[in-house]
Formats: sequence, structure tokens, C-alpha cells
Amino acid sequence: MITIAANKVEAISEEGSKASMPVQKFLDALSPPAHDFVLPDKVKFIKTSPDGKFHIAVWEIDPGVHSIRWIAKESPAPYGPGTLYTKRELALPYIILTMPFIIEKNRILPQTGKFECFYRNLPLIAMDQELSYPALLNCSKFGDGNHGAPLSWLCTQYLNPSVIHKQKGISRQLWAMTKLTRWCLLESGFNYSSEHHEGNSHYSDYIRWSNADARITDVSAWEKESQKNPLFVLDLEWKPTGLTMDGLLERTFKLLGATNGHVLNQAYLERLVFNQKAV
Amino acid sequence: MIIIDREQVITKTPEGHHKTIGIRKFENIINPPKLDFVLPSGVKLWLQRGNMFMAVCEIKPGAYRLNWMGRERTLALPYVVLMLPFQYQKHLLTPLTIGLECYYRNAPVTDLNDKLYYPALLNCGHWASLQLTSWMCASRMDLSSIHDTKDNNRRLWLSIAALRNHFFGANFNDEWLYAWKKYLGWEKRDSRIIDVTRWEKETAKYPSFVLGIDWMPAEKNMLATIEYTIGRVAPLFGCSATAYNLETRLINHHYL
Repeated sequence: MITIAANKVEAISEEGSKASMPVQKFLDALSPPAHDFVLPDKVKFIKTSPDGKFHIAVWEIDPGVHSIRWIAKESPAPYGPGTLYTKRELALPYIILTMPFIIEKNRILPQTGKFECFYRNLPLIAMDQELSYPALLNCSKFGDGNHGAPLSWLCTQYLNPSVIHKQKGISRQLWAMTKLTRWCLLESGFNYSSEHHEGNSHYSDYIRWSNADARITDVSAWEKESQKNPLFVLDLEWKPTGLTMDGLLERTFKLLGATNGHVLNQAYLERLVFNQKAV
Repeated sequence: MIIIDREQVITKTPEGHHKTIGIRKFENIINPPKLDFVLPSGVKLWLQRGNMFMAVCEIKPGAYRLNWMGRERTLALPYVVLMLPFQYQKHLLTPLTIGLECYYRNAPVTDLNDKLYYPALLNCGHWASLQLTSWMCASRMDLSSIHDTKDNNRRLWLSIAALRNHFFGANFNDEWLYAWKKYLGWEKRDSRIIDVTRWEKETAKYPSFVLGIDWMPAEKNMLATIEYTIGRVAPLFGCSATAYNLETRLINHHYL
């Protein structure tokens, strides 16, 4: 049994042993650790897993024409050293990037194996809005049946955490992580790495889709159309994921191994008081 | 006194009230739900303390049309940091305009411990009854749109839109002179700002000149200001940002 009176929590075990702690300490131990972040521009929110262990920053990049290094037709290598690129001016719709991370000793540790990228034709304004797959090279589609994999993994092999840790405080580290992620997506170069390493990219997958738009499937047509109307991509149908923002976050937390937190019952509370720390 | 016995939580107050609730409900009361929203543009921080929240909105520097003492003026502003507290009660998120505060900065907010500066604006100032140092008059903020919806995400977006409309649509007049008077009395006041006609002229020449002004520093940094304001505002609305008065919370179910 537990009694709370006069700012003291007292637990009495069935054997009659007693232990106590202050109310505030008791309540603090029941709440998952909270972190507050100053958000970089366009980071729409950060969601924390129920057990408080994982966080996901969700970043929206506005639609527009981006200067992109796209693999050249004549490239001798499909990816890696020797790959040739052509600079392309390509229109992209709203891009949603999900960036999971943990915090250890006041340092952000990006969970790069679970970074993902999606498309939308409208800005994200609520958690129940749907996400589409991005028609992009470098966004990997893992083989069917691989339920433990991200749906649209963004290749982040060059995202170096030591660069992030040069910043003081988790808010500024978040800014650094966001900047590096943007580089990985839009500036590092689009090639056929995903096709070789993960099985497929969402660009190749889009090309094979029955509703694929000819203005996207051919990169030269895409560039031409981008010059004529940079926002034409907002009128296109993108391949749906069938998941809402909330659903995707829930899926990612599951992949990361997040739990639903503690189960509150008398035994848990008694252990908490006897052990003087969160169990 | 509160007794937790198996799956039941029994609360007895000194006045003789008592109530029994399940342990799940107890958990919801002591650990208010985390409210996760997609945040409107410009919201740099969404902070929760118990069932109190604080939205920190940043307005980018630029030349803005403001109604200054009854006349429309185009005036350059630096980064404007607006802090609007919210309460969550009976499943509804509601802005508490009584705790609205306004500050200036010459750079974007990037850290919780960033410094704040007093705004050289009419309508802002120290408010003695709540002891808020840079309170912004919000008595005329139009929040009628939020009453039509119980969707909290929507209520947040509508509140932030109302906040921006209020800031840019307000009549900056001499009813609340405090911040302006404080700035005028400051030894480092900038002559380009203290005369509004000159301020407008300088704006026309180079709107970013305000980012080079030495603004009057506030005593507390951003996080300390937020914690302080929440602590001042919460009790007025029967909210609790901390563990105080657990028995009353359990009796009244303030979080539900």
C-alpha cells in the first residue's frame, strides 16, 4: 500500500517494511524525461515516443525548383567513385523528412538507419494527413516483406554526428542535423545506389507505377516542365503510402524498439519508492 | 491524504471530501497527456509544463505597416518574439491572452537560453498585477474563430493566426506607454527610433537598420521568462505546472 500525505510518499510492503520519498521526486519519476527544443525553420514538430527514449523531428521543405546533381546518362558507374552527374533544375513538391534521434548526455544521436523522406502536394497542418512516396533516387524502397525496414529510407551515410556535436546544446545540434540532412537529400547527388544496395529506389518504383506521369519519368522532360511551371508537381498524383503522419511516426517508433512506457500498478509504485528511482 | 491500494486510488481531503478513482485515471491526472501538434509556421517552441503550454512565435525582421498613434506607418522591426501561454482543460486547448508577452531580438531564436530584449513599442510593458515584465495588451485579440472547433490542432493554428493578426492589426497607442517610456528613458536609446517620423524615414532607406540597434536587455533569458510566466499565469486558471496540491487535483480532475 502507498500513502501520500504531507508532501511525503510512503510505501509499506506486505512484509511490513517501509520506505518514503518526497512527492515531487515521486511524480518526476513517473514522468518520462522531457526535452524542450527551439525548432529550426520549417521543422513542424518533434514527437517523443511514449517511453521518452526516442524523438522524431519532422521537417517540411517548401515546393520549388531545386538545383540537383542527377546521374548522367553516360555515367560509367551507377554509384560511388566514377559516377558522372548532370546539374538539373527540377521541381519538387512539399518534402517531408522524418529524422529520428536519441539524446544521450546532452548530445543528439541521429538514428540514421531510420531517416525517411516523403512527398505531399499541400503543407502539413495536422497529424492525420497522408504521405506519399517520393519519386526520387536516393530514397530507398526495401524489398517487399521486409517489415523491419523503413518505407522510404534516405541515404544518410555522409551524415557525420561529430559535426553535429560541435554545437552546444540540443537545440543548436538539431539545427546542425537538419542542415546535414538537407545536404544528404538535395546536394549530395542522385544515383543508383539504392537500386544496388537496398533493392530499389522510389524513383525507379514510380517509373513502373501505372499512374506515373511522363513529365517525371523522363528527367529531361521533368526539367523542361519545371522551367515552364515550377509548381506543376503540386498537381501530380504521387504513389500513396497509405499512412498518415501519425501512423508513420508510430511505425518508426516501433521499428526503433520504443515501448509504451511503464505499466502503472501498485507493485510498480512500491518498487519506485523502495528503490528511490524510476524502475 | 492519498492511499493507493491495488488498482484504486482513494483521496481524502482535510475538509472531508473523498473520492476513489482507478489507477489509470490517476496516471492521466498526474501525467497530463502530451499534446503533439503540427505547429504553424513561425512557432519556434512548443513547451509543456503540466497542463500549461507556451507557444513561442517569431516574426521575421522587416518593414511592417503598423497603426501607430492613429496613423499608418511603415516601420522596421527586428525579430519579434511573441510568447502566448495556453491551458489544457476539459480536453480543450485555450490561449491565455492575459499572459501574452513580447520581446525583440537581433537574431533568430536558436536556443532555450537565448537572451531577450525589451521591445521599443507602445502597447507593451511591465504589468504590475501579474508582475510580467514585457506584457502585451491583448484585450482586443479576436479569438472568436476558435470557439467553433473542438479540434485542438485547429485551435492552436487559429490562435496563432489571431495572435499575428492582433500584433499587426493593433492600434499602438498611448494607453500602454510603459515599454516605450522605458526605452525613451534608457541611456543607450537610439535617435533613429525615438522619433517615429525618423524611424519611418530610416526604414525607407534601409529596413535592416534595426538589426544593428542595441536593444535594452531583459533580465531573464527565454527559458527563465517562460517558466516565470507559466508560474504566474497557471494559478489564475486553476492549472498546475508542478506537483503542488496533488489532493486538490485528484479531487477536481483538473486535467480531464
